[in-house]
Amino acid sequence: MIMAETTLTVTHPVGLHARPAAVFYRAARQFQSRITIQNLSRPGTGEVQVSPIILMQIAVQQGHEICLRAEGEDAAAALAALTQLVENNFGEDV
Amino acid sequence: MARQYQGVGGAPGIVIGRVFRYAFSAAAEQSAEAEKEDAAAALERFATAQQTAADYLRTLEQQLRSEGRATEAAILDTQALFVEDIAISDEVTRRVQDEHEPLEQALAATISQLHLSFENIDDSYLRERAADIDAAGHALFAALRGTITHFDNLTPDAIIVADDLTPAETATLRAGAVAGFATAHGGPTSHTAILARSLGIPAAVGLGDAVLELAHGTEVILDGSQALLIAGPDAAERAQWQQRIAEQQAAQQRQQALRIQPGQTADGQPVALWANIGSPGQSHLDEIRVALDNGAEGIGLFRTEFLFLNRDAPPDEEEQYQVYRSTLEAMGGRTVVIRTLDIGGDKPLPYLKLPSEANPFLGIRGLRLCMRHPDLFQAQLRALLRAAVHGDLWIMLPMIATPADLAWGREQLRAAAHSLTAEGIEHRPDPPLGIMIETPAAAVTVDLLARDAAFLSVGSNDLTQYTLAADRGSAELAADYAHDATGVLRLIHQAASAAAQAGISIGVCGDLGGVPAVAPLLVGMGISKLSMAPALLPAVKERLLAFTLEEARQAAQAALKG
Repeated sequence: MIMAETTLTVTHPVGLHARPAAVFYRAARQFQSRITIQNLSRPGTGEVQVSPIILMQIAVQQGHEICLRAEGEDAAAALAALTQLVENNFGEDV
Repeated sequence: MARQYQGVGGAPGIVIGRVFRYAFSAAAEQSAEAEKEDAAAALERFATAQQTAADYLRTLEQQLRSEGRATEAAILDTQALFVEDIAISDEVTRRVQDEHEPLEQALAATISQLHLSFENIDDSYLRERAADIDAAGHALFAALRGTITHFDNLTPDAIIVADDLTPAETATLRAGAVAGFATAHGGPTSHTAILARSLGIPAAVGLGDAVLELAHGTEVILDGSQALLIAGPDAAERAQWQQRIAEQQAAQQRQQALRIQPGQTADGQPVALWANIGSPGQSHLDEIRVALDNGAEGIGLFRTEFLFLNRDAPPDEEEQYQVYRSTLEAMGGRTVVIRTLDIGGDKPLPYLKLPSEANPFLGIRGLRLCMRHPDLFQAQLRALLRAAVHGDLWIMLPMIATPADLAWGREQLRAAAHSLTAEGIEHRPDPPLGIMIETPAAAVTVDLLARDAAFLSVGSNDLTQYTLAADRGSAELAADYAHDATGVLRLIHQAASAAAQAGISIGVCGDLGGVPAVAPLLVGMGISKLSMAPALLPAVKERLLAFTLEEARQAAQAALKG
């Protein structure tokens, strides 16, 4: 079992909800690994699984720092793909 | 014994139909068998319901997308993701498996728990998503019951009875597919009422919670003009109302005959009868078709907010240009008054960080918001100036309280024209620039504002709420603080007199202009243009023909005495 972890800053103006959340969720679902996220900028929210509703609950706004963890055979690939999505603003020009 | 429910507003028309319950609370019904089923069977039933609900929502999404309604389609796509979300299924599973709760109870508890978690987030956009959670819950319950409650299964005699309807829900409705709406909450200017009027569907809103106790299938009579719902009529009552429906149809036929005739008084004084369009969830071209069918001589208010709502980024100049241009072309040379973005803290836009305000209607809204986001405003003005070469476009600024507000808007329009000229882009540099009269301050300073405005239009909904200090969304206040209160009429009269002195035209584009009993009074005060929901045009036109200008003036004088 492989475990990987990374910390990122979300720069998309909408943060991680609405369309970006749906894009992020759909990407995460492509992998076998169990993927979790924590909003480090919002004390009081813990490490949670990735789903559209849960992503909205942890209310990641522009400038927030998130920690992504993946656990499974394709953990490294999953994190690489998700990191790229966040860094490319979910494929949108913003 | 028939029961009567009195609402506070709606959309005109009388229909007899059957209650179609559309509400989340219907969820509580749980069969005795369901209480005995084991956890595995319950969870299997739930998984099937998730699949059914998601399939249904995706079908609806595809349908909307194929109609070019991408914004509404995106809302339904998110809903489809929600009904399958692990945030819902994990908690339902835990409750059913570990707490031995019956499935329906577990689901209701899960939804209300999630709803609360959103209500407590310190982000107004996310707080509003609590309604999306409820909508997902609703879709799941509908699938569990395996019965109707999808708008898909509406019968033409269905009268939808609901708490209130969201724009996403109303987006799926079409005239002809449903007989009417009746809601417990919402005021005369709520989404449901505005949308029902633009669709030409009879509606009554603000009927109170008691209406939610009506059973699915109950026979009801809905009179939208009186905001009245009557449940369980006896034979005599039914006959009486059928008679009224016949009279209504006769009136419609009479009005239809007047369709091509322009608006005027009995002695031939012209009154421009224009339509309001730009309802959320509606295609503007559909609305224009309905407006022209009802004899609209122009568009007196094109609300542009719908272009900016329910999306992650503002519409760019090109997208707006296409919408404005298609509107002007569809109107074939008739006047189109387009109002610049009129939005505030009550309708948060995810891409604008709006501070949350205690009183959004007294805060940074309309032009004030544009002052803080000049790029957004410039893109809209440039799109308008470019579109203006394709017809008779007038630009209208909302929320004007001082001459300085207007001067700022004027300066922005000049800047937009300069930038287009500098870039060599085709445009009309000087379309008429007018203002809304919706603050009492504007109504009493028309003499000053008229120096720099080409036309005036009274926004009676906001003018009423600002004059009477009564929230326009409050169903409880609506009955006692009416749009035709003497205080409001006197302000309109004062504004109209000053406009006449300054030699500029003044119209009314709020709900007041579409009330047949009030229209002659407004004309008698000097209002020369009435703009309203398209469905109201024929009745107003007929009413105006019953008054000479002198009679209208006398009626106005009497009304102003109070």
